[in-house]
Amino acid sequence: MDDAIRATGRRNRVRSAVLVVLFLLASSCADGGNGGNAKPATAPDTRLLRVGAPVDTFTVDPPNRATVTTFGAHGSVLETLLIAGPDLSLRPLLATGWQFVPPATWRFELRQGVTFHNGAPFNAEAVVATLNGRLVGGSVRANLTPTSAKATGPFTVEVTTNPPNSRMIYQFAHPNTGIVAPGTNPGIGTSPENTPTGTGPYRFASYTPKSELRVRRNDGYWGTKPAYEEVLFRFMPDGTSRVLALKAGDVDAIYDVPREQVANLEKEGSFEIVKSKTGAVQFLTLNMKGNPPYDLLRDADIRKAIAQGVNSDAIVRSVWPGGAEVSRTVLPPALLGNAASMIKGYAFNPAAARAQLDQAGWSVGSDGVRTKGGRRLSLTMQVYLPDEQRPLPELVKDQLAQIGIAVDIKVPADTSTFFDLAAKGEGDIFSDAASTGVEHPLGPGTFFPTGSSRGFLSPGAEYDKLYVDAFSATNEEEFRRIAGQLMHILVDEAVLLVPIAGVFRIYGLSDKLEGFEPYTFIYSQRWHTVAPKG
Amino acid sequence: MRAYALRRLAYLLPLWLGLTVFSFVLGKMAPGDLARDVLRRQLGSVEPTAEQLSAVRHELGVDRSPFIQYVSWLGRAVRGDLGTSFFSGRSVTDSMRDALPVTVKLSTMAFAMTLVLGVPFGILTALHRGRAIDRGLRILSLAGASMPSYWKGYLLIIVFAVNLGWLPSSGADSFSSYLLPSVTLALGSASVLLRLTRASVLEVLTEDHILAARARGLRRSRIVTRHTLRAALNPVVTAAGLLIGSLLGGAVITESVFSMPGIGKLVVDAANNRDSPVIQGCVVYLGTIVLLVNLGIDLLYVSLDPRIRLVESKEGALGVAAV
Repeated sequence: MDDAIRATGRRNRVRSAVLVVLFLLASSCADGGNGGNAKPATAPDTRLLRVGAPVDTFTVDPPNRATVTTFGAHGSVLETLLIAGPDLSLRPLLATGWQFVPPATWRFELRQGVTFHNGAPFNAEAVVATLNGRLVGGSVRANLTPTSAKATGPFTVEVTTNPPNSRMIYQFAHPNTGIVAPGTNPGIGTSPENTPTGTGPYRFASYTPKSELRVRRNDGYWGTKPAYEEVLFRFMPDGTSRVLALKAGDVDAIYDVPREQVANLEKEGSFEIVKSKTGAVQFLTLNMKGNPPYDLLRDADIRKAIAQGVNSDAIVRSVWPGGAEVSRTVLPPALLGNAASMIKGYAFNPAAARAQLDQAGWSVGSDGVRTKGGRRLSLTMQVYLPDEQRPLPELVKDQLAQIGIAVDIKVPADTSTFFDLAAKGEGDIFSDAASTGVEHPLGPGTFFPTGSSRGFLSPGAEYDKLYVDAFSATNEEEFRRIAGQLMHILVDEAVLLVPIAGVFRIYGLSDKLEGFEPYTFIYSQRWHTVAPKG
Repeated sequence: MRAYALRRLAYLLPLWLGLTVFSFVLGKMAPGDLARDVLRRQLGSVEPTAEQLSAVRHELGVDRSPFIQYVSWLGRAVRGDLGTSFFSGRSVTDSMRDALPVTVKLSTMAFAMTLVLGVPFGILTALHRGRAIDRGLRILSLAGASMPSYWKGYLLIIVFAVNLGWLPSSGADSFSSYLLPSVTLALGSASVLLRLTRASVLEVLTEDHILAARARGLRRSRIVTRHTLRAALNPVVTAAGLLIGSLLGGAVITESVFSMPGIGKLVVDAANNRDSPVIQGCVVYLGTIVLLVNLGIDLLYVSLDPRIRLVESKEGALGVAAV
């Protein structure tokens, strides 16, 4: 009898415990995803701005010489001579004026009244030390040598290169060209010599690799004084984790909200979604000079049919709803200016694509795939960034199937393998992506001149000459005109590139912040203008 | 026992050397050109010249014969120098030293939670076989083992960080920041350990010596603690040992979800960047961990279960066998 009572009591206690646990789980999960119970962002701490950054890009470029990518990007510790603004226009920063002096010299007037974080004066000598030192042979490839730059006055620098480099002013907007205090090198800050020491609104405080970077306000900054005393950048490679950290109030702002999370975050009501102009361009590269079995696209008719068979609008609406726009070029339109009208592109017209292929002798087989002379019109597509581009390759495959072209999608093991395959031409279509930082407006990765890693795709000697001429352009208008011509050849005449989408960079912020300006290039983003509302 | 332990330690050296050769050969077999990868980061899409490739190969030391490269690496490795990362320029040892504390803390907490959840509940379900608690816990363990780590991680973050605000969502800078990732890891491994413990205890409970103990009138608790557990723990110890090895190897997905810069993340980043010194260093580290853990398990067997004795084979080798 007693045993039965005890057993009954145990059962009741177990049932109660289970019910309590289920109740707690249900209440805590309620409104977990759809706009109600996310903890509202607390009032920002005016002492500390916390930012969820995607990756820690600190690297060595070349070996034994640190880049400034992490430090220049995340906190504006180092500043460049120029900066590309949110609209991609070049703006003065440490240089107040610049002028091209033919045949191959750029003259820069420097800002006065600026000091480095260690108290050293910013002047022409400091700029020359950086340009002739750590930037020689660096990733920016501005054709600099140890004697390229010279000080022609206390605040005037002249930079001469051979061959001429009309892209220099764009390249000097890249954070990798940040000016450092003489005698310092932007390492990880374990000693004064390897502490990033620049002129920026923030000074280096601490850095834990792959974890976080902390910067502290520079009270002697020459420009707008930052509102926040410190900025903490937490490196959070996973996009969903960044969003959850924002919702949890662990950070106040994040880079790169995953596109599938944008609507969810907007519905929360406590956050602001801010989009930049086009931050990257997704496009297809057609191997028009491939060797068997990747020689089908030597046929211009097939390339044109592909350009007409791809529905960029449908892809943009499906893959990046609200996060991209259809693009006719792989350069930002803002960079091309009026020259953007030189690029027409190919409108989506599957009927015209089918007619093109019919006329070229490609007849539709019983399985819907076209054949000619016993050969199937089956192409191999190599995919560059499968996670970011998904499901673009599948959509392209489906669209091309509608015009009788079969596509076999291959995803290389990593990006290095992709570039190896692309350099060797082992593929018919390459699903490519390019960042639209203004500092590489004629990047060989998207223009394929002879001598580049995919230079075998160059449309020819005249094209190569035009590409070289662009570097000698003496003013921006001429540069834009030549760039427009080059892009016109690649997109309209040779049909080497099929641009699809210009993707926006999407930031998520607490609604308690103001003053944020979204930059297209992650490494140019500035945070010193951000302040708490009110 | 001492002789056995010393003999096992002696076997470690050739095993470890074999591991280093294996990792070195694997690295050499990876597709691609390392010098070209390094120059791609410097030159972007500009095709490097033959002179540039040759210079970088010389700088990286890959222009020497594989045997010389291996011997050179081995000589530095035994002195604690695992080389320099091609990507970050930092020494591999420093990179691992930064990552290791995060992984060790995470692994320790996850392992402790796994034992606390898996073993007692496994015993409980075995002792209450067929009852509601057995069925309920087995369903929960199935769920825990089936759910992918990233899903568990996100769910825990939503509940405990976003909605309840009790714990941080990411990072590795405080004790509380390790709780959610530890639970994420433990939920999966505890589920497996629970089922293994249950099966093992059930098997032992059917043996004759347990029946005899019951016939002698021993209390149930004594039967379980004195006569069942020690016999049932062998497979559990094996599983726990393997678990330590895998935890210390880094939990890539959990580290990514919770933004923890541990060994798992280091290895994956190195693989994506084709950073072979880091890959090689991490492989050697992981292999060493597994070797040491296996040694520990073998030694623990002997002390746990008196039925296992050291026996001498005809050739004079010392081994273990059930008696």
